[in-house]
Amino acid sequence: MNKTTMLLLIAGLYAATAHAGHSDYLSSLTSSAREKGLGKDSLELLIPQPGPGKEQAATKLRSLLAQGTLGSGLTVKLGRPTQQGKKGVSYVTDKGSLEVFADGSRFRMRGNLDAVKPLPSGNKAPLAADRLEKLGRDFVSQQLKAFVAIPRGEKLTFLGTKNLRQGGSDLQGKRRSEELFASIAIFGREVGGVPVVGSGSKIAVWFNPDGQVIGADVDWPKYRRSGENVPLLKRDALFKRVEASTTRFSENKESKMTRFECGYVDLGATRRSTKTPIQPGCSVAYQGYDPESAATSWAKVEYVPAAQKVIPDKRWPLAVYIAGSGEPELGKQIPVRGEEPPKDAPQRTIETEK
Amino acid sequence: MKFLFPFFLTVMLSASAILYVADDSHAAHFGTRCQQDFQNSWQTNLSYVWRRCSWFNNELDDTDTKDFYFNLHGARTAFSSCDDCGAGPDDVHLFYVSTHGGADATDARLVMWDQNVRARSNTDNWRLGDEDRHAAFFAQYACSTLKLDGIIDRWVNTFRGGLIMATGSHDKLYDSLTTDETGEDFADDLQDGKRVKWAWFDGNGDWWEDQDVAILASGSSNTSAHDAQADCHYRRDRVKWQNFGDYARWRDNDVEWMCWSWITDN
Repeated sequence: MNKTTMLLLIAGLYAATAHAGHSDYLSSLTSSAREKGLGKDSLELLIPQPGPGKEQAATKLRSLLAQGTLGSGLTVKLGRPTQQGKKGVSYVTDKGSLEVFADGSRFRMRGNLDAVKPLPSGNKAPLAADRLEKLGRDFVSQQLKAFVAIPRGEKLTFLGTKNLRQGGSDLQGKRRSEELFASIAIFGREVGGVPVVGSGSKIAVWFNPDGQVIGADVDWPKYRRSGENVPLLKRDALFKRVEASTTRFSENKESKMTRFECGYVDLGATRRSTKTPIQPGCSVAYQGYDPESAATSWAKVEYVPAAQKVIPDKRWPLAVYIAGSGEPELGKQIPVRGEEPPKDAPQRTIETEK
Repeated sequence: MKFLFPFFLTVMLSASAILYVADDSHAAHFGTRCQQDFQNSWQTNLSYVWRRCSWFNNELDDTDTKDFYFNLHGARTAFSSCDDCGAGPDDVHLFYVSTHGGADATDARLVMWDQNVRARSNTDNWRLGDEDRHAAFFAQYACSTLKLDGIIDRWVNTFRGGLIMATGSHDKLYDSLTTDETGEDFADDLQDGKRVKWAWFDGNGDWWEDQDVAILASGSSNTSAHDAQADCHYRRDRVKWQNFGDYARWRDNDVEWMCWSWITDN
């Protein structure tokens, strides 16, 4: 099998499981990673820089929301915080909301969603993906420019779209209706041509059916290049680590890998630390089937470090494990701390299905 | 939307005979049951369920009353409807569960720890909301329990007890390092006073992972407006953790409409 045939086969296999809303760019990340891993021998670590602080970011954003600078769909006056804690500060009203998390590099804002006029299905086609991408890029580069820095060597990438729909029916199904409430354009980031995978460095811009911005979710830190390059696992070694930690690349009766993207792993603002570098790794999405019905019954994403020498990250159990204990063993689950409930729940009888 | 407020007032007034007011609206009751591993590994182990559930508890019990946190050992009957089911959805205002999920032609299904055992919506006669506690919300971090095709048949009987809303997924919710906070975030958003719909969507959202979030509500024409569809939309879009006691409970044949909302990739 020559290389072109193999790539087409990989693309075909992925297409069979791809989500309709994924952009060609996002889909290509899986094809590329399956072919060559990160496609590099080494990668420079990134150092997350401190954010502006949640209070400072909130003050600035509240001002923009009140002034109408973010557009008429995102104009709202917010008073005192509804909650203020270690994780974030929030201002929630029925006419709009703002939440700022962690060090201020992540925030979520919504306009008056009660004012949205949903679009009945069939009346008019929803905004096409390329239109949403254009509108989203414009909003990021103009209205969000103070919060989304894209320095030289970095790039805003388009990951695709999602739709918020709503529907209902009488109990007989005779008067079933469906409406489009919002379309969401999703963006990611590349640093030096390497994609950032994970929840960090992501932006979602919400549009009502008329194309007006009604919300935005932003997790966008500043990174500093560390000057330190770490050697990466070769493709075969990386795939062995991935399979030991997740599932096999080839579909089997228990599970199927649906996405596989490699790059910098940023787990998001609440897990990001200025003391721990952003290191290379892969995001692996896979799902499994109910043994009885063969329907999907579970789905997982695991993040697998890709460097030869993994940096322990206390918010990333697999990185801690590999850094301390070596390569994961096939089928052996890495322990994740969490409070297990007591086993002495009141019980009546345990019924076993026939 | 201007017509809705007076409409709602009218609904409340005209339905006063069946209004239920939470016994303590400032500190509602919730319970949590979750499962991360399964007997003889009959289902794939999950990794982040204990975190998701315990962090949900730790957040919501800052403001409300946690009645229980248990696993899903021998728990199938707890999902049925009775006052002494023992730590099930009918024992609290909000029940949160995280495990494997699914849907077949008849039932929404939640996987128990016990080998080959699933709690099933119709087969097990779920009818939530008509016991002493008057359950209002059934939150499921589990795949596919709100699968859209056939959703009414799988769920209408559960709502005939007066349940206000079920939250879950029409397809997949991921067990992941970056979704271990989803329970905590959902609870935090409830405390913020968001509508339950937005609390579920925002709390479980992740713009990298393909989270398929959905919610389901019911409606009745037993209002002065005699419009079950509008009533359903109002409840779906407006109910909050802080005001669910103000909502009429539609039971049995009062349930005439079901409506849902979901975020999808197409």
